Amino acid sequence: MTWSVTARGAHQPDNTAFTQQRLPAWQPLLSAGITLPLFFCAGLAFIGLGLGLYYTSNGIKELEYDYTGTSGTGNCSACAAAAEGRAPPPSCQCAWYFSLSEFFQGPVFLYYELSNFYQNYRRYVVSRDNAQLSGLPSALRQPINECAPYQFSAAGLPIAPCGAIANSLFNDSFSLWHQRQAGGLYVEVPLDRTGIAWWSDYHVKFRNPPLVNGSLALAFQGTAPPPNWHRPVYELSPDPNNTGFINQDFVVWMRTAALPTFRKLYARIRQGNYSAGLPPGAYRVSITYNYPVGAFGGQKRIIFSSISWMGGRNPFLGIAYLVVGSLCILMGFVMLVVYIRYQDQNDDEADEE
Amino acid sequence: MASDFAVPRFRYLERLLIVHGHWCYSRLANMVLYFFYKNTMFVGLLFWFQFYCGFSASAMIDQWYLIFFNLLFSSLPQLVTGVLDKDVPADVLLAQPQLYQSGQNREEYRPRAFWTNMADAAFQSLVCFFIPYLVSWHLSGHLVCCVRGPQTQDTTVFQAYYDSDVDIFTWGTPITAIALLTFLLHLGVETKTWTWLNWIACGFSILLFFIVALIYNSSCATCYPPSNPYWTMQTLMGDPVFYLTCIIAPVAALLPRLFIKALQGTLFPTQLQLGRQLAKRSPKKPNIPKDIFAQGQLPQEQRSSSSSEAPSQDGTSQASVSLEKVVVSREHGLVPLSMLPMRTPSQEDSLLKGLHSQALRPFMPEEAAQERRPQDSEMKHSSTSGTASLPPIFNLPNLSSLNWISSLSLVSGLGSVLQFSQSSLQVDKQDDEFLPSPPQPACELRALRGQTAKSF
Repeated sequence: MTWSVTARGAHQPDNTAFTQQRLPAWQPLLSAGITLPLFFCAGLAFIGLGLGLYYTSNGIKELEYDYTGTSGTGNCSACAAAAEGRAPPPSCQCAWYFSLSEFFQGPVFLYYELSNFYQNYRRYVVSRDNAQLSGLPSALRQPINECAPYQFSAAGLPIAPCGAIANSLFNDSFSLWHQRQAGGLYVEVPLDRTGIAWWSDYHVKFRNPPLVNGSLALAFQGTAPPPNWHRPVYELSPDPNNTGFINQDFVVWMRTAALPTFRKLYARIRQGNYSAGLPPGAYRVSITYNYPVGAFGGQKRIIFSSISWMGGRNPFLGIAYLVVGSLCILMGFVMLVVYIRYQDQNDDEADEE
Repeated sequence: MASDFAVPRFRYLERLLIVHGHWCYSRLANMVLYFFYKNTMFVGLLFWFQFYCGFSASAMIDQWYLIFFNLLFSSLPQLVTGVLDKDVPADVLLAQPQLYQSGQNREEYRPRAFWTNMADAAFQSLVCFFIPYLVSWHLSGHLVCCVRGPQTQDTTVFQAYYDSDVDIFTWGTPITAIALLTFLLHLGVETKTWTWLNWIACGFSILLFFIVALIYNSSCATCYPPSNPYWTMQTLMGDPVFYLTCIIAPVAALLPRLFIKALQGTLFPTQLQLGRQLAKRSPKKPNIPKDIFAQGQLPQEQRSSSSSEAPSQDGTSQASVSLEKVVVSREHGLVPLSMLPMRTPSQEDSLLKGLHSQALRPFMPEEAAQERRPQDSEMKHSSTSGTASLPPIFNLPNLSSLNWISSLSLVSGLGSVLQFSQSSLQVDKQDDEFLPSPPQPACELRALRGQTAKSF
């Protein structure tokens, strides 16, 4: 029987590089010689980046004040004591006085922060009706079942906006006053309450239902506000561009936070004399204490923060890069020692011959 | 695993078994480990989140990413690796059939390997969760600043961290991206053969993830409760912190694995890794100076030499030649540092004598004698007959000089072989039977028969 290398059988498989597994390949070997440059380069790059990030973050200033009032001291503890055990809690006024010794570089953002508030709880996260919030007239009076028990009011009217997220809307308010001279008058610092929500949220996701006879109140006729609200949704603000479902505080609140301690943007200080920052002097924050957090052991804070390209103050990123870069360099040195030692060992054994 | 194969020629059985069988085992073992790691790590991310969402089974990763992750984003690269990855090249496997024993001894998939893999998956999920977490965490003021009363305050006091005004799915989408990048990087550490298909599959997966995310996040603002990720990815892609987190987290997650693998490959290489290192070094043959060839080991002379020559004598001279070759090649070679300690000739003599005292497997040379004379048959027979004497040495389990000595015998065999062969094992060199080299086709069948008969 003869066998010829040139004859091709009928069932012979393809002789391509792919089918015969002859594709040209790079075959790296994970040994000291390959990984050493990798570790050192990565380590140096990370350390450089980490230093830059850390110093950028250090330049960002923050100022915060816990106004929960549960500790018994401070101005707002009276409000906290008054709010205990009474639902809805009575509206209360308190204030925070502070002074800046140096210029607080702008743009300055004002946040409120809540802790021990699980906005990421699953039943809470699903408790909303997005069709209703997008202004669909058909969905306005038929809230979905996930909103229960905040779906229909006690009188049987559909709740707009429905759901637990809307019901727990944060309703404290703040105003900032600046005393230019000691003992002088307090002048209000204008707080820009617009532009605090995502552009896409404000313009696309949240729309008011179509006006009826030019009136938003008539558009919401036949619906009821959520149980915890003092006023209906169309009266959230006198500004017609900021009331109803497109009220920016409401939109910011509906973006459920990721972690139990979170902050949300309240206002930006960027108007008038304060657009460049807060000048030194005495300040007062007047707080309208409405939101009860004592029942779940939460805390409330107010935060002033300047903003950079990497957002607020975030030293962790710089530290993480520094740590990983140092680890890379350390591992690189270990590999270098191993490499040199085994190189020497091979050389010594060769010399013995 | 299907094990019914039909081969048209009996001689193909060797390649089927030793090359493809080994590759099949290696790919299967590594891919199974990788699959377990991938799923454990991904679920681990969701698991760590439960501690921060009140154990309510809330997921910070969008449901469509959860569905499509294993299907679309991370399936193609592992498919390419599982199909095409060659841990040791075919010629080394054929030349060193002992390497097949790694499959017989189940060396690549042991309980220890599995649990180490699971521990690595748990560690990586910790890193890939907590780096984004700490980037978004707000440490509320415990320290100096917190004002409790109408006190004036220095503005330079700062403890608070990054503005954690991020919402769940804006925080979960970077975690998904980080998970994908970590999987691809892990696969990259594990892949031993990088073809253009591997590169394309990895790049395609990353691209597909971002394209799907961008399309998903720009369609229908209200259609996907509860996440409704409208414009999330677009917002993230304009945020430098997203990219910074995506760089640091996979690297930090893979650092231990890379480091340990690199150390292990240098200090305690397995037989397979030694084989791989040899295959890398074999193209160094042009560096070997010509005077080594002049020592009378040329193939033509060998071919005509009678097989009744004393094997130990040949072996000694052979080994001394290969010693010098190894020295030369090592000067030009790079990587396998652990491979080449030098031995004294007396040690070699005793070893080689020991080699020849091994009995060969009885049936193989008979088949060799009965087989006809196509080229591959000689290759197979000589290699099986030749290397049958090596296994006892090559199987030494622990790292010792004896292990290196066996590898040196491997080197001495291969060094004389590979200096003459180009890419295949059609080597025209006729050596002693302990050298795993195939003889020249056609002419040597007679000599081969003489050899195999002699070795009984």
